[in-house]
Amino acid sequence: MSTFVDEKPTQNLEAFKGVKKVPHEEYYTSGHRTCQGCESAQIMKLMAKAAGPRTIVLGSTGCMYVANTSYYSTPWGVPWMHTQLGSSGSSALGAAAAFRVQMRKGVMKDEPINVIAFCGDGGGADMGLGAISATMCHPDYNLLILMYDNESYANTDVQISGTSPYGVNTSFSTPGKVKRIMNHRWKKNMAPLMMVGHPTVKYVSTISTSYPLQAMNSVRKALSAGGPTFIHCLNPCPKGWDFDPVLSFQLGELAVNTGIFPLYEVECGKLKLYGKTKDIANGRFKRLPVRDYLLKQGRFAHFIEEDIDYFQSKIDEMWDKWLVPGIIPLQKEIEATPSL
Amino acid sequence: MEHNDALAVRDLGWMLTWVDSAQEALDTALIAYRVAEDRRIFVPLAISCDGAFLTHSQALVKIPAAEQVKKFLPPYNRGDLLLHPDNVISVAPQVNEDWVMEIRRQNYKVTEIACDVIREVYADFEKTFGRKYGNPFFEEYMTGDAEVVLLGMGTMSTPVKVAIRKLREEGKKVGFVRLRWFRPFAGKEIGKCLERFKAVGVIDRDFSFGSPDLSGVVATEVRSAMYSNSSTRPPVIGFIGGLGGREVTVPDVESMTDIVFQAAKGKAQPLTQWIGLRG
Repeated sequence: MSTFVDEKPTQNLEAFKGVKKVPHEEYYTSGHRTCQGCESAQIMKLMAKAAGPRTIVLGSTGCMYVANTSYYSTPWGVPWMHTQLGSSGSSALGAAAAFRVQMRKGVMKDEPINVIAFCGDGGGADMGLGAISATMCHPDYNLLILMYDNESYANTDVQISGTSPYGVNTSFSTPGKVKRIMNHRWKKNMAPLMMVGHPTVKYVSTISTSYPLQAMNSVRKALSAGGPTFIHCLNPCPKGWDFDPVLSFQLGELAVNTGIFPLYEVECGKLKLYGKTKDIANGRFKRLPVRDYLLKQGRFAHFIEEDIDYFQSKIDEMWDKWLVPGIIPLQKEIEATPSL
Repeated sequence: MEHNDALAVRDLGWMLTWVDSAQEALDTALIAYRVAEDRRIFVPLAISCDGAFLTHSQALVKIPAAEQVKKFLPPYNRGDLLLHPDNVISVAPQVNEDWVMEIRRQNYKVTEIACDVIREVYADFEKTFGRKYGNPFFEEYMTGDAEVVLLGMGTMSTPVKVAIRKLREEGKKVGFVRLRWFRPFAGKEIGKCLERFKAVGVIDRDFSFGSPDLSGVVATEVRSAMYSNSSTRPPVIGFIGGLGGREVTVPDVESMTDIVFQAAKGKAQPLTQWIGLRG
């Protein structure tokens, strides 16, 4: 890294060696009113546990603001502050810069403090994208932006977002008799957008609450990496996805096992697949058919065979044709260029 | 430049003040921090400096000594509101509709004492820097023996004062009241001040869409303040002019003064009149 970058040390958070080594202390506890089976609340809990007590959390508007922190109640055991819907990036950068100044002036004790800003997919992948991108370009400030992705504006009654999957039924893409598929967009590829678009970012990863230990260790790595870091977490949402809350965990696993949501981390430009995604990539595990994932959710109940086949073909394309399978949607020139 | 931009936030719970010179802008910035960060107040505060007229022109300014400023404005301490791991708090949780009344009541409580706090801070400012603003809420110009007055905010004070000096030479007893603080609006003081004149002309650099008498914001506020605080009922003529940075000229002020004098003589005038309109 160039000497022009004024780095500050981070906390050195070593990976938890196993589930039994995870500390008992919780920094996200009771006091919220999220739905039964809410995986977004689960990642908040894991994130706070992984970060530990020397942390501040900034939360942009979304489920994890509205359902967590109603006036006169809070689940947060670390300092938490609300920030506007699209401003997780700018608030994280501002808070990190404020700490730096206060420490330089001697107003505060000079110590590494974790700054985490979380956002939903609406607040991060849609509205907050510009501010997050700007923040990712500031290598001097240590911070983590964690996007919890429940694939819709679930808090305001499940409207379509930039990360909603193809064909999904949301309150803004309700299938009708004339038109069955109302969402033609493919899910926004957020983590690669962050890592490819911002080459100095030292840590980007995707995590799932169905793999809690890896999720926590990923948060710890991100906070220890230095500079701005980004984590994309997929969170099944019983309300928005229309399934029995008992299936939350299983759907998180299926999203990975069907290849829809690959798990990987990028450390200083080095891509590392992990978990089942790694097994899929090196052929030790055969991807499950997406049908298993789609048909467990009411939001895909209108799908006919043709739609499932199309969805499957797009997933196959991800894994068979992309330059970096499942991650970078460029195709090799020979396949991308029609014969001249 | 028009005052509609700042007045658009008038009911949000912000304090709003207008300045008319670079020196006042600097002084008010110091005063504003003291007022807004006072724990009894603790609400946002905006200082309005007329764009271009004030912000893009040059003026000599007395810069106060750093020690004086430090004495007047000690380092800001967020105290128990600091977002730091040693102070576990949750800031700005979602307040749903069931708490709106209590939150608004907090706004009300602030405005109840805001005028007193402002007076206190101006007194301390005078003590520290030796520069005197007198009544913090509005400035009176040649009102001592005036029969009628004009009232307005911001940099229009310059052409108005020039015109008043000219009109005085012609024997017309006219004065000017420049409003500094719009929120809080010093209703009692304004009501008491204006009751002694035969007629009042309010120059608005804004237009309040669909308001009573289709006036500007300030005229509406002044009429409202006088209704409950003045012992007399002089006619209040609203003028709308200088929108979009159009100049309020000396002849404009002369014609407005004529209209206000006509009203003072008991000749009915339209309650809102547009000044300096083309075509």
